[in-house]
Amino acid sequence: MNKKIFGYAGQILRIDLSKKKILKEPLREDFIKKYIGCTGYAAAILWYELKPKIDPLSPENKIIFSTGPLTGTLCPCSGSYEICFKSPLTNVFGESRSGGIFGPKMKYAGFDHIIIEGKSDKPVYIWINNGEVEIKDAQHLYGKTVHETTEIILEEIKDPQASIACIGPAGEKMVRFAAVMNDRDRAAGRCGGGAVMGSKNLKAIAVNGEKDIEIANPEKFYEFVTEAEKALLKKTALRRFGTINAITVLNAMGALPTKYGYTGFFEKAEDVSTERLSNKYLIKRRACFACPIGCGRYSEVKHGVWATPPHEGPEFETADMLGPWMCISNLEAIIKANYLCNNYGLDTISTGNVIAFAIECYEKGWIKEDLIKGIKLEWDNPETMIKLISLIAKREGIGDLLAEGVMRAAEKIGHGAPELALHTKGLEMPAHDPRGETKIMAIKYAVEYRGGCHVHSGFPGLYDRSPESLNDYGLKQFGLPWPPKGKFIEEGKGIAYRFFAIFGQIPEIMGMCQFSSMGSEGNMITVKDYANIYSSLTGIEINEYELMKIAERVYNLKRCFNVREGFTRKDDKLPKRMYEPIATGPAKGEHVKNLDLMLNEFYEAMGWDIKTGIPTIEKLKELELEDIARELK
Amino acid sequence: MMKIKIIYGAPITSITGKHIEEISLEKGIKLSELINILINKYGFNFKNILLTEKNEVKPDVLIILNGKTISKLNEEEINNDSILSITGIVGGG
Repeated sequence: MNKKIFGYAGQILRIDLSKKKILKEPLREDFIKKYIGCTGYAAAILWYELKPKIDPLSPENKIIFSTGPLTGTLCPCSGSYEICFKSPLTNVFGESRSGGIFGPKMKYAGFDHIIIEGKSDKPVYIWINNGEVEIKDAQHLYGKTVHETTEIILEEIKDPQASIACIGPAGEKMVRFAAVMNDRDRAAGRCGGGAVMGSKNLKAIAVNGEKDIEIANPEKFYEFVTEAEKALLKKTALRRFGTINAITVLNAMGALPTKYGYTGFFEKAEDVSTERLSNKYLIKRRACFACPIGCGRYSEVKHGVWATPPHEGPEFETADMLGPWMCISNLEAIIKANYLCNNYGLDTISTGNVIAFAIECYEKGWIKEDLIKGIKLEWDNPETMIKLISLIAKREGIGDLLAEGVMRAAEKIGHGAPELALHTKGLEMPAHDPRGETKIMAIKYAVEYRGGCHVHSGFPGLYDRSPESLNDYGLKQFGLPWPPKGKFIEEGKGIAYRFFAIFGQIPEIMGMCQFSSMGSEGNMITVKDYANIYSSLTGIEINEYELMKIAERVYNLKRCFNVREGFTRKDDKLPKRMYEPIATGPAKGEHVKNLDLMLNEFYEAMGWDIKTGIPTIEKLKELELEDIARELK
Repeated sequence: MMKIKIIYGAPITSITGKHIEEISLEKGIKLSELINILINKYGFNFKNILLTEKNEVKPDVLIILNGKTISKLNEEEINNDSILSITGIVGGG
């Protein structure tokens, strides 16, 4: 790509760790036009460059660190980067987003994407400084925690302003849900990207640079992002209370996942509330790069057995999955558990899910005593939780079994464990229960390309949360059914979800945080806003309808990746517990009734074959994915 | 007299200072009357977060009575052991 480029850094860095080869490639104009960037561009690379059915922990896999055109600009919430890879947890398309400053620094270092291939013969880290790339020895870093690794590398490269993305001991041990952590406590947590890095003997990537991002139409761009910032400044609840405010919100709804989904109501939720955190442990708020919302929390436990240094968190997912999910109300223990997961490099959602799963399996008599070696596998036992986090990270004792993720652990445990395990496609279910919250999450969990996920592609939970909801996400003009039917009504949810699934790709391909893209016009960045911001930044003119088409293309591409791996309608399913009634609380009795209805609606709305869930040839041709259609045929 | 349980979610919790409370009420009380009792107890900020100027439930507030979502304050009778939830809707992720 030779002509002047705006918005993008303009280069891809490709590193073959087997051959220690470093290549710089220009961005492809055709890929930018079709997929824009970030996970869209990365998905195309993985489609064309990965063979199907490879072992995700083999050197054949690739892990791509990706930014979008908006990453690192003045656009609010533009601090995101994502990692894309074939997931060792699910065997489907894996992607995971993180905030902080790594994404912007990667672009300032000169690269939109960093593709890691092969496997180093010994542990290494990569230092990318203003376009110059070094592969450095990391043998002395192996065994070190995330925080230790970060400090040592910053000292070695003599650049305290650099940003570090690394794995902890969990990634080195290839725990299947190991996270990639950046800027100490920011997590690209889901899907096991940390395990893929560990399989390549890649400990860390450090980035810094001073490359400018050029803007095609600075005046217009500034005008549009200023309006976007005004809209996002209205998200006062997130700023003031953090995501952990959802503990009491969802509990009041009867939808706070508790005791491994047995119920949605936790009597002691107040002990894990945002107020408790603020009053006793919060130091200050934290924001990612260019974020006016500032939902992050920076906390510490100063004294006692659960003492921690200051660190980021806990977020809502962590607070529930390491808290009420196991019947734990000890907020200090939850903060400690979050700190340990960050430092070991573990996805807190998967970690909490698999520990609670083990507790219930033991309770039912499916796990033998010789496996747990005296550990008290019981509800509301913070000491056990802390112990198991360490064992999982090190793959010791029962930790080695649980490190395989809930799907594989269940297969090994046998008895009723596979039916009990709360996952879809192997990705552990997070802290949003479709039964009590909204049935749109039911269809979402079933069909999502990365598995049981609440936030990729987008978070539709605000759509029908209240009867007089105004949260149309700016999608009415595209046909979103409005007003929403009641959150417990399943009919129509498949049709509605199509719009959120497609729209949810836009932040993913732009390099933006999903929190910028929820709500209604005036308090979020809408499709039209994105189109205006992108056009003024890059000089590539697109309108909102063209942008939705690109988003639809990317969503279908990711679906096709999974189809090529053998995943079809039979894999779009929910765990058995979702069909069981919530036991107590304001949503007592609610359960999923007819997933097939919602699946049929969604497939038809998407233009997919209803029997198989595979995008039809007609749909793929419409989306200019004819070559993909030919390969899938 | 009868007892009911009220569950508050953020940001309502920042005004009530509590997540769950049990209160005693006269039998036969209606939902709209109960809300007025709570407004009297917790003041203008509570009312402001809950209701519009026309005394309708705000779109970003959720009221659930015994599992049923309430879209408009009404004369529904509150029974003994009822559970009432009042919460903002923003949260999660």
